[in-house]
Amino acid sequence: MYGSNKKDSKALVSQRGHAFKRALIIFGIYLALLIVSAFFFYPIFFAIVTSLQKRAEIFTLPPKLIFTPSITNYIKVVTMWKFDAYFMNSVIISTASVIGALLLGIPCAYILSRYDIPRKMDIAFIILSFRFLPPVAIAIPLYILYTKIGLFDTHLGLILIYIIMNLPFVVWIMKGFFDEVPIELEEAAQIDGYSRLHVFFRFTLPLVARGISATALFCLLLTWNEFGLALVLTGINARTLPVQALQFVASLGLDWGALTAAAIIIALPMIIFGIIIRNYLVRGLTLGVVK
Amino acid sequence: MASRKLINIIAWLPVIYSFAIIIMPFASMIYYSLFDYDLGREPIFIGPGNFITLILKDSVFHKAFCLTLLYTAAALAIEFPLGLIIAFLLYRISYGRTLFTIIVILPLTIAPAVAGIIWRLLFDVSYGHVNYYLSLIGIGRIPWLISPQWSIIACIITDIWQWTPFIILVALAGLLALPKELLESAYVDGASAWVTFKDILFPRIKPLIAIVLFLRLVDALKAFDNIYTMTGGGPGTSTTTISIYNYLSLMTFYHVGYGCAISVIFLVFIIILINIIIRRVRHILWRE
Repeated sequence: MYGSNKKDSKALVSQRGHAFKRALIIFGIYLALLIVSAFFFYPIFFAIVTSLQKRAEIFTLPPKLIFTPSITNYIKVVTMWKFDAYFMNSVIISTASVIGALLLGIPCAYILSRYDIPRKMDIAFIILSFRFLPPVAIAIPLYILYTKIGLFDTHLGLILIYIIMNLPFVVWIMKGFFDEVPIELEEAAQIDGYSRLHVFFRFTLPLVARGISATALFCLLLTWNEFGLALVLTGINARTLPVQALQFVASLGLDWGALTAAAIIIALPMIIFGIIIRNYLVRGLTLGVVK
Repeated sequence: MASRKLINIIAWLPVIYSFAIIIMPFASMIYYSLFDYDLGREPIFIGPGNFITLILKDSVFHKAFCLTLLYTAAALAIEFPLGLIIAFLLYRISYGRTLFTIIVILPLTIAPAVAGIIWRLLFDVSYGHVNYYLSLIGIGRIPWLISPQWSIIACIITDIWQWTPFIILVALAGLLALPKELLESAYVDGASAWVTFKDILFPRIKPLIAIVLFLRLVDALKAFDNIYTMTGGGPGTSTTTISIYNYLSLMTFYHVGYGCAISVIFLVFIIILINIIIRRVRHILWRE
């Protein structure tokens, strides 16, 4: 315990050196993370700043960071080109398709989680394969069919196909959530005399309510952002926001203020959703595989 | 038991629904792919003619195929190392992780089509901020979306911006789920950061990374939104990937038969690919 003083001071020096080295490493890590965050954040920052600037300020280099924010660009975008109509299209189409997918997918997910039925894996993997279909490749035959049967440029046309797009996420993510509900709990309720259906609605469903809302928000984000199918399958009436954003590029190409204002209006609800469900985002993106 | 039958039907319902919607379009796609058929003209049956042209003669299609592979390979080759490193750095810090995570999440929530539009402005040759910041470190004006070589690089950069966060989040989730003692014991042993990561942490999150690699691979192969809104496939055909070519053939040139043939080839390619991969990762995906 009482070693020579020399030895002690030596240890102290090396300890100090070590602490210094450690501090340096931590500093380095934060610096690296700062640079990386700048890369990920800058485009969004740029869009927000530009959308609040006047024309003369936008095209100033170096970028002007001190200015009086103005919402004229937002007013311009919202009042022109039926923006409200396209916004509603996006709301209607994504909400309806998510609800449709939840109604079809949740019971299926529950059965995949709890019951022993034949060809269970086949069901799961057929549904999973829809996740990988290239949107444009399937949009083209759908376009031909839809123009013939009058579904082209309608809400219903997009909703029908978006339900298929959402199904793999609903089924796989919800199966993961159901797997986490202890089976003993359901068995206990059944012993108490509740029917299986009753147990599902009274006990299991409320337990996964959080999971359902996370899944719903995640699918809303996906459908809201979908572009390929909407581009091919809509005209003027059912057009959704991302497709309209591209129209803005053609009509407002040089009006960066209005263009970025449109981009922010489209992105903002999803940024908020993304932050709300941030703890479930990984689960969504990996279809429930990574918890 | 009648309810047993009902349960089977409910379980199959999503599959039945999906097939009901896509079976007709798929059948018509295969049917039209055998015709020389432009919108507004009478279809002429040519058998496998479209496929022969595509595979043997169409240089734009060959280029599109190579571009798609290049885009995918380059994007993945950068996104994975970068994502893993950032995840490891985030794992090592104790303060500010939530804040960094939220910043990293942002690109994921933005529509790829909208991301393409924002980057289109950033890549503007004269007023774009990318060229401005490059000029500060002495790099002259890069003709991003004007030159064929740079425009595909610009597309890849938007992909990296948008999807590296996906890899970061998954890797970080995997790392945080590991027992804390792993890192501590490595630290006591005096293992360097690189060795700790390579030998102790990475092997344990490998299955998760395999799944992300699979998802990213397929998604990069079918990338369309960001490329289309940023370059529209141009200049010339320099960013015309398979999805873009597929779209242009129908919606711009009205070649229905030819467009369907491209769809068929692309779908067959994707289906074969995912079958091969799913076989390998099935055990990671499906846990009873």
